[in-house]
Amino acid sequence: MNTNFQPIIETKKLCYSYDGESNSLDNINTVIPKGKITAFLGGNGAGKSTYFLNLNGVLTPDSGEVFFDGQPVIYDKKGIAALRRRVGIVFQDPNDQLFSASVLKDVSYGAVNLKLPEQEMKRRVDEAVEQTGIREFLHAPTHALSFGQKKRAAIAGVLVMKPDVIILDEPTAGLDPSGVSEILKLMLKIREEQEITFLLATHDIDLVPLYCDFAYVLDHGKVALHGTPEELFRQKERLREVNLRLPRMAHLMEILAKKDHLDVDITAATISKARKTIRSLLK
Amino acid sequence: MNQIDKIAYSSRIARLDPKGKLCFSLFPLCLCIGTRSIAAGLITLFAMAALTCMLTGLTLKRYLHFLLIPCGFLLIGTLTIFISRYPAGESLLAGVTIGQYQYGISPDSLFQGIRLCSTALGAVCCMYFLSFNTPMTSLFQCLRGSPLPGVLVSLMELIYRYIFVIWEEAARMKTAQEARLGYRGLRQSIQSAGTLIGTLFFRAYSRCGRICAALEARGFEGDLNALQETYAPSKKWYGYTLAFCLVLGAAALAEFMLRRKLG
Repeated sequence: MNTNFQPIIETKKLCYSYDGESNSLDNINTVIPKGKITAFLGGNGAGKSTYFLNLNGVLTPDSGEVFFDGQPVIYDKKGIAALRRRVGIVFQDPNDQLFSASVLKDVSYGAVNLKLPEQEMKRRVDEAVEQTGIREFLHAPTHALSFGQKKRAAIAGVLVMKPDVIILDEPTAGLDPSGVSEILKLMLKIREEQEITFLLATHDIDLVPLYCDFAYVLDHGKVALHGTPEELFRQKERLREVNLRLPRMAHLMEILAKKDHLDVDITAATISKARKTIRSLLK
Repeated sequence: MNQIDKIAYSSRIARLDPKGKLCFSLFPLCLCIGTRSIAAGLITLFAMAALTCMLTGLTLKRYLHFLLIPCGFLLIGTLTIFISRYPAGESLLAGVTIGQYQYGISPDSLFQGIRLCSTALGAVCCMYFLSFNTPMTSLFQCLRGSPLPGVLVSLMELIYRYIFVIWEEAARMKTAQEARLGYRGLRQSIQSAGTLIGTLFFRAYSRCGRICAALEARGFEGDLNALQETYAPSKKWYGYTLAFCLVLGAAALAEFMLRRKLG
């Protein structure tokens, strides 16, 4: 991996175990580049959620270190409060996150916990509501919202805290295709406007080459692979070992190269790149 | 419950300050029960029903449908007041003689029964006015300002929110069970319902852990603070409350005088 970026989060030999015996996180070394989108891949139970909860201070590491913006994180009351302000998590099931029957109350919750002046709170809520496009549901009861609307409300609830890092746990799970692209576009928009670093856990490997700058693959609590999407998709065998697959386009390129002996770019993992390499063949 | 919730959110005065509505429903309710006057009860019943229908856009038929539920309880409760045992020979409006006693309705028991029914229904309509026009969240906000402990209100808020989540989850599970013929026959139904409830407990418990993590991630420190909603002022409704209470008081007084005159 190239190193000409500034890390916002670093973990060194991070270990965590729920029961004190088997390690759910086993010596995790990660470097999260600032202002980029980093994907976390891996099957269910690979340790993605546990890793995220450690970054936000809901869980405290058993051993190892976490650095935020170059400073080691101290897991005491003050340190955890500071960490939570700067790292926001959007959970997979918005029903777990939206605790209030009033959308406005839920969105404002994090801002109120920061004990900001009221004027500032209102301004932030207004901004987050505008960004996520939930103004028309603001006074509706939470249970009347659709899944996608709930998801956006959950993102607004994290945005009001003005974090430096937002963690999206399975942001596309359970959404219809237009909902998926809406959420991902929202992510790109927020990154553009506020330079927020995103971490996202996903099973949808096809969105990795489209939206992500870097990726980590976790397997049984260990980092199995990491790098840019291109670097990752070159290691096909290793990916398959950890029960992942190539993006459809990269798979097609692999087949074209291997079985049809065509001279295509096998790292082309998106439709536009695949189109480019196929067109260059035709010329 | 889900229906009433929807009605409350679509009421024309849903976004009004709940305090005014609280006043307008609770004071007449107290008057109804306090004076135990048939006239006051009936006036409240009709006024509240008409007002609720107007403000929520409910048809009278649907409103009566909602009123059927408390009527069922009322019927069972007042049956023993309407019908009593009397010594033989007493003049009754209707009754049967069994042995040395007669069972039936006397003028006095009829009066008592009607009195109880009208006050109870009047009170129910007051509560319906409140719950059909006030979303729960605005009531919670009102309670936050009251002397009630904050943790109690927080619990109410969480319970209210997760009733819907757990309800949906139960409905999905039931559909899945039905799809595999889980409710064919009584025996099978009881068994399926049992597993459903058991699983629901476990799921609710594990969800509890996830909610806790999500709250903590946003800085939970024991309180569910949030921005207060702003409501349209409801000062007018204090005036309405006073006027309505005066009407009820006058009706109750008139009834009292009339009864004294008739002996």
